[in-house]
Amino acid sequence: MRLGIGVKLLSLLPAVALLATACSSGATTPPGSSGKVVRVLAVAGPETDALIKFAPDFEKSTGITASIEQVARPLWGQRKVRELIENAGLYDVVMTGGGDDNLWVKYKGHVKDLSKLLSADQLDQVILKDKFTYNGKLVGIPQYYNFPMLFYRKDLFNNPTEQANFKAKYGHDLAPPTSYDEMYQIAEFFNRPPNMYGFFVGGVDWSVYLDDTYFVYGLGGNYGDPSSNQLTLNSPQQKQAMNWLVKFSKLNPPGWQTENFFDGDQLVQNGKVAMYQNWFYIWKTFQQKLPDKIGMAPLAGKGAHLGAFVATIPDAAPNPGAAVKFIQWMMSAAYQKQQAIETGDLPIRKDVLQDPEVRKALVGIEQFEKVLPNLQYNQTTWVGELSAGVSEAIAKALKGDLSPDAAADWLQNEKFKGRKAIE
Amino acid sequence: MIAFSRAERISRALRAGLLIIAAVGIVMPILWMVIGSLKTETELFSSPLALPAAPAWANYASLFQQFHFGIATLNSVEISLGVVVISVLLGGMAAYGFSRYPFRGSRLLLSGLLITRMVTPAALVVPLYLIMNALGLLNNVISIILGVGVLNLPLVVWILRPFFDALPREVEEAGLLDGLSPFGVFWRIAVPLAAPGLLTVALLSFIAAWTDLLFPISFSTTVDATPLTAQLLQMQTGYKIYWGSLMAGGIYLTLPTLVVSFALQKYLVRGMRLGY
Amino acid sequence: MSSRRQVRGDRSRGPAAGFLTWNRRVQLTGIGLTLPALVFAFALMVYPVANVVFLSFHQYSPLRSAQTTDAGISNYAWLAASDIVRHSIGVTVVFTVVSVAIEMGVGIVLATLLAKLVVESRQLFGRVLSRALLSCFIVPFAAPPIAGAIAWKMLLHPQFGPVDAILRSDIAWFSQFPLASVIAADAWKTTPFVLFLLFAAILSIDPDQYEAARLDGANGWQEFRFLTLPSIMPVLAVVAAFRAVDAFTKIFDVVFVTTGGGPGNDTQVFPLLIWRTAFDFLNFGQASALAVVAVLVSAALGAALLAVRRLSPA
Repeated sequence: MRLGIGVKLLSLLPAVALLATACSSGATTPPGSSGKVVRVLAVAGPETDALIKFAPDFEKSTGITASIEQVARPLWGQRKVRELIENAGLYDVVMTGGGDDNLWVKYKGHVKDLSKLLSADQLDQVILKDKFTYNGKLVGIPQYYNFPMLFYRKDLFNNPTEQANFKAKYGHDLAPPTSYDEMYQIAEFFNRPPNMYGFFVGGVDWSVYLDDTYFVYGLGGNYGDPSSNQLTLNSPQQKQAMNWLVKFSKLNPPGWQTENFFDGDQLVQNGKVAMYQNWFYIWKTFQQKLPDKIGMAPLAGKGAHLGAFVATIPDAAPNPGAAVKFIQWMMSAAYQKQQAIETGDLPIRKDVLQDPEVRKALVGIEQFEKVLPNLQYNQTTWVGELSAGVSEAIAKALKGDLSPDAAADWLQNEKFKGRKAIE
Repeated sequence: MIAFSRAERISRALRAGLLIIAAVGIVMPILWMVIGSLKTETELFSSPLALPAAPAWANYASLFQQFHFGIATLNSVEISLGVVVISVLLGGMAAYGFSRYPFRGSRLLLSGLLITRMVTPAALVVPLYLIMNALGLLNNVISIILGVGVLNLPLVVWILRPFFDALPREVEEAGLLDGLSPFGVFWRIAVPLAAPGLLTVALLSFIAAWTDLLFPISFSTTVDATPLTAQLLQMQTGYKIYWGSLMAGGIYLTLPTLVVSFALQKYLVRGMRLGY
Repeated sequence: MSSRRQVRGDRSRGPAAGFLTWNRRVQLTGIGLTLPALVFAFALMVYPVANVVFLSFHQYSPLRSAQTTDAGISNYAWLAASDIVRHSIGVTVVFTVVSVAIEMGVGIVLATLLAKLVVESRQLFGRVLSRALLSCFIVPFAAPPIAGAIAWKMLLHPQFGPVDAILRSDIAWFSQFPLASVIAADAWKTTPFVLFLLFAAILSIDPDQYEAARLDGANGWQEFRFLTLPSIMPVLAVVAAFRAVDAFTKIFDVVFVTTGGGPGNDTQVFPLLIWRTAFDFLNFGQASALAVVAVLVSAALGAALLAVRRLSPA
C-alpha cells in the first residue's frame, strides 16, 4: 500500500487538531475578563432546578449570565474541596450542604466573609444565620430550609375504633408522638403484617445514616464536640439512637434493607407503612395525592437535621462581584417567595415566612416554625467518611453482629480511633 | 464435500438456533436501550415491555439542551484525536525501534511492556491527579489525553511490533542504500507498509479514548473539559435519574464506536487477537 | 537476530561507515525512535508510581489541611488491619474468578459452535449468517463500558426492566444481588473478546484432523473434548490468564455506574476503593498506600502472565 503523500497529510491533520486542542482547552473562559458571567457550583436536586428556573430574573435585572452547573451527588464532594480548600478558582459561588458541610466550611473552607459583602438590612431578614457564623465570620447564606418531619396515617389516628383500642392498650390517647417511647408504641400498634407495617427506615447506607441523625439529633446528641475536639460516637444519646434504630427496623416491611427514603414515600402512599420520618419535601406530594390520609407532625425529639444548600463565595472566586449579586438575588424576597411556592421548602427570610401567599402554599407551616429553632448539624469536619462509617456500624447492629451499644463503641474506639471532631 | 444426514441437519439447525439466541441475547441490552431512549418517562414505568407509542425525540434533544452534549462531544473528539495521535506516533516509532533497531536493554523494556499493561488505572490516577493539579492542567482535556494515552501506549507497542517484524526487510534495506536516514525509512517505507497495523491501533486507541470514564471524572471539574462519558454520569444525580436522557445519551455515546467497529471489523478483531 | 547481525556485518564499509560503526548506529537509532515513547511513559507512569510510593509514607488530606506531613508506615499499618481493605480484595477476587469462569465457559461454547458453522457453511445463507453473528458478537466489545452498564441497569430495573417484567417480580437486582448483577454486566462486555480469540484458535486447527475424527466416528461432544479442547488449550490458558488479570485490575466503570460500590461495601472492588479513598474521602496518603499495593499486585500478575505466555506458545 503506497500511501506516501496521503499518509503525510493525514498525519498532519491530527497534529493540527491536537494543537487546536491545546489552544482551546487551555482557555476555560478566563472568567475574570468578562464580568458578565457568574459560575455557580450546585448539586442536582429540585432546589437547584428552582434556581435555574428563576435565574432569568437575575439575568434580566443585573445583565450577568448565570451559569449554574448541576453536579451529580457522587462527584460533588470532590468539587467542593477543590474550590474551597485547593482554591481551584473555577467557580464564583459554591453551594455546600448545610447540614453536613457546615463545620467543615467554617473551620477549613477558604471562603469570603459575607457579613462584609452583604448589606445589614438584607442580613437582618435571614433566619438562623448564626448557624453559619463562626467567630464573627458569616461563611454562607442558605438557599432554603428543609428538615425531616414525622408523617403518619392521620385517617387511622382519627378512627374511633383505633383510638379506643390504642387507649385501652397503652393508657393514653392516640396522637402524634412527643417521645420515642410513644412513637414506638404507635408503630408497634400499627404493625400488622403483611398488609401494613408500623415504621420505615431506609436500609441503604446513605439513607440509614440520615435516619440515624434524626434519632441522634432528636435525643440531643451529635457526632462530635468541637469544644473538646472529641468524637462523641458512643455517647449515651448515640447508643440510645442506635438502639431505637434497631428496634424500629424490626417493624419495617420486608425489603427495607436495600431501600431508601424515596421508596419509603411510595410505601406510605400505598398504605404499607403507617408512619415514618422524612424530609418534608414529600409533604406537597402527600397533600396532592392523599390529603385525607397522611398527616404531618414535628419529629418526636429535641432537635432536627438541618437541610439546606448554603451559598458560599470561595476566596479564589474569579468574579466575586458577580457572586455577591447572585447571592443577593438568591436571598431576595422575590426569589425566596417563588422558591417556597415552587419547591415547598421553607424560605430563609422572616418577611417571606409571614407572607400570606407563602403561608397558604406551605400547608402546615406552623408545624415547620416549631421545628426551626431546633435545627442541628453534624459537628465534625469530615462527614463523608464519617457517615460511611456510621452506616457500617448500623449495618452491623441491624444484622445482629454487634449489639447496638457495642456497635456505637466499635465506631468510637476502633473504627475511628484517634480521630478528632475537627481535623 | 460432506453430505449431511438428517440427524446432522437437525443438529446443525439446533446449533445455529443456539447461536442466534445467543446473538440476540448479546445485542439485547443495547437494543433495549435504543427502545428505552425513545420512550417517555411515564411510558417507561408503565409499560416496560411495550414499544413506545411515538418516538420520544425529546430525550435526544434534552441531551443538548440540558446536559451540555454539544461541548461534551467536542471534548470527546479532542480527547480521542489527541490519544490516537500520541499512540500512533509515539507507539509506532517505539515499535519500529524495538523491531528494527534493538539496543541493549530493549528486551527488558519489552518484557516490562506487559507489566505496564497490567497497571491498575485507578492506582495511576491518584498520583497523576496530584501531578496535573500541580501543573495546573486539571481542568483541561490535555490531562485526560495524557492519562489515557500513557495507559494505551503499551498495548499499541505490543500490537505494532509484530507488524513491523513481519515487513520484508529488502524494501527498507533498499531505502537505506538509497541514502535515506533510518527515520526516513520508517516514515516513508515502513509506515505505509504497516498501514493496516496502524489502522488497527488507531481504532483501538480511539475506542479507548472515546469510552474512558476514569480520567474524566477524576480530572475534569467544569463542563468545559468534560467529555461525553462523564457527562452521562451527571444524569444519575443521586437524587433522581433522568432515565430517558440517560438512555438517549448512552446510545449517542455508543453510536460512533459501534459504527467504526462495524466498518473496520476486520481490524478490530485483528487487534483483539494481537492484543494478548 | 544473530543472522541479521551477519547480514549487516559488511555494511560497515558502505555509505553508513564513518566514525560510527553500524552497530553503534543501530543502537542510537533504536534509542532515538523509542525515546519519545519512553520519555512519555517515564513522565506519566514511572515517575507517578515513584511519587505514589513516596506519598504512601506521608499524610495528605486536603479536607483537613493543605500540608503534606510525614506518616511513616501508618498508612500501611492501617491497610493491613483494615476490614474494608480485606473485604474489598475478597470481593475483587470473587468477581474475577466468577466473571472469568463465565466468560471462558460461554466463550468457548459459542466459539466452538460458531467455528463449526463457519467451516460447514457452503451456501450463501450459512456465510451470511456467520457474518451476521460475528457482527452481533462484536457489539458488547464496541460499546463503551458506561453505556453497557447503563443498559444493564435498565434491564435489571425493578420497575421497568424487562427481566423483572418477564419474571413478574420486582427484584431490585443491583440492590439485592449486587455482585451477581455486576458480574453479569461485565461478563456481557468481555465475553466477545474471549469468543473471538478462541474462535480464531479453533479455526486454526487443521481441518484434516476433523476429517479423521469423523471417520473414526466421533460425535460432536467427543470431537470437542478430545480434539478441539486439547488443541486450543495453550490459547485458552493465556486468554484466561489475561482476562483474570484484566478483571482484577481494571474493574471500575461498571461498578461505579451501577452500584457505586454498594449496597454498603458489597461491591466495592479494589480499584473503586482506591478511587474513593482518594476522591471521596480525600485521603491521599491512604489512597497512595492502596495504589502501591495495586501496582505490586499488577507487577506480580504481569510477571506471572509473562511466564504463562512463555510456557504456552500461542
